[in-house]
Amino acid sequence: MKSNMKDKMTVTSFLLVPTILLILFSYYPLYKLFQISLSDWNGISPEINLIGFDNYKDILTGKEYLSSIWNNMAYVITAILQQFAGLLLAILLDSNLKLKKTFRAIIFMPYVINGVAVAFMFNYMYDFTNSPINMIIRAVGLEEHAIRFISLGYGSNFALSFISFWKYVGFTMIIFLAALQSIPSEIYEAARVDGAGFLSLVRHITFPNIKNMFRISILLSINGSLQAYLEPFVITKGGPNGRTATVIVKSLELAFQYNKFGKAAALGVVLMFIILIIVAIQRTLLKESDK
Amino acid sequence: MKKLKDILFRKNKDSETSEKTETYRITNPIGRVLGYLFLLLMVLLVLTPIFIILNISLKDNTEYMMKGVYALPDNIFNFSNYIKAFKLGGFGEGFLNTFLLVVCSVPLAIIFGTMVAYGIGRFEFKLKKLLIGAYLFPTFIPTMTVTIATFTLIKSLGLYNSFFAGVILYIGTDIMQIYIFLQFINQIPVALDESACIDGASRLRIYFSIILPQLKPAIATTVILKLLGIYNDFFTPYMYMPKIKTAATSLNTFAGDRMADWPLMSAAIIMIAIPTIIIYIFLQKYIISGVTDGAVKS
Repeated sequence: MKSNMKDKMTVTSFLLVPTILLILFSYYPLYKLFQISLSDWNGISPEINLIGFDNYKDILTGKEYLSSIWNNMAYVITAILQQFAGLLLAILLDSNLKLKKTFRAIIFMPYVINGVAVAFMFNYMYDFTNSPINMIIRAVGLEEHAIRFISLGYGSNFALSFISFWKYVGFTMIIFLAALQSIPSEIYEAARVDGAGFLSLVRHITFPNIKNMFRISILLSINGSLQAYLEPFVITKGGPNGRTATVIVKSLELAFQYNKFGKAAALGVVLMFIILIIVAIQRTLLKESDK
Repeated sequence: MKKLKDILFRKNKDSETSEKTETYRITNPIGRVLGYLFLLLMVLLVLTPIFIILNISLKDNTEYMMKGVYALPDNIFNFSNYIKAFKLGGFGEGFLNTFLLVVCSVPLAIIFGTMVAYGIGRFEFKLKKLLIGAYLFPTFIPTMTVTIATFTLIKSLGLYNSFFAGVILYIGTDIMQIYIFLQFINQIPVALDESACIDGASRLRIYFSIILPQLKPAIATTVILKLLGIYNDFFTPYMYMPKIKTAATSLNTFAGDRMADWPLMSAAIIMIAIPTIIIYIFLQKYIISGVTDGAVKS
């Protein structure tokens, strides 16, 4: 179509506001984040005083920061397990088992439930005295084996990351299900004619065909687990003694409790780089295996 | 409403047929039993915490103390905890603010998203590739890591603790939405635009009377997903407008000093959880297909 002056005006006006918002809220904060990360800004004073890379040095040598990154690893491990559980569920829901619709509807449901409500739900499940799990443990006479879910040391991170497993395993299942259903059924029919059973179908047809979706899904999950925040924030506030403080919890604590905006921003930048490096590694692996 | 139903119904039919696919045939009886066991285990895992909390929420305090977690409530229509929690927690205000946030941001988000998609889908201009790239790139930036800077920006714009902090952060359009709209726009024949053009319709007119109506199914999905996203969002209101209580933040505040009163707390949890569960029950297929589309495109 030919475009004239008037069209140009129209398209410009259509794109203008959304693009200004994009620049203001997606790009400008990036610049600002780097700037703050190089300063000792306290969040209040009018001028931002640059101090070089001191914040980064502190973070990369400070035990408490590295341990917060370490805490996130529990979420990453849970996210990886979530992929396998989600894939298994998707395969079962694309099979000749009955009641598939009902199973799918129930298992996906937690995805739509308010995260704060979910966190408080589990706060009850994990409460030492009230926990329904501990009630059962006590009822069968194993009193001394009752579990202190949120003061287990490093294990508490797994208890907290299990909450996101609960909430998101249905999501993983749904996207794998979509991937499975996009594989042409002729391939399966051909394999079946050749006498392939269930397990060999999964191994030789499913796995190679859903590789791409698997990478996308694992990337989304790892991305989410490195940014985990809500569960520790609502349930433990990062305690006891920072044992369950994820990087984001730590960063917000630095800014809003200790007024160390500079250090908080630097921690954000470090986390961003970790995530971007993982994305980059994934992309190159993706390209290589496509060759 | 009727039109929305038509769209939903049509979608339902589509997924109904795909529902019948049985790619895998598990014939081994042990395999079948194991399959059902795993599915059942997951269903129990999902439902148990919800039912436990629901069960507690219908008991009064002494009943909870005496009979514990597992006994069924004496009266399953005992909603006294709900009434008490609703009043004490100011959830009315929370629900109202969330509703207002949805009403103000969702239409704007739709308008901006469709306008960008229309601009990209129907016009050729110099910096088009750059523009698409500019919308794509932010999906790689982990949003939580930028919080400190966004907070500073919101403050310097004078939006801290203002209702509009939420609105402005929710109306931003992203590449996923644009892609979904673009798919529909690309299906609309350009000839339709051209003939309207010849009839003297302006571009604005074409956008409103040809493009927008064709985008209805995509708009409906986006509306539902945005609605769920805003309702479930805790971080934005908590961080940028703590004085304005939404459904999610009022639950957090409510919990502050009533953590020990579990029947009351459970009622509050269920109250916040139930609206999206109801939406899900009615629009399930729709939500699932929207979520799948989004993920597949990424």
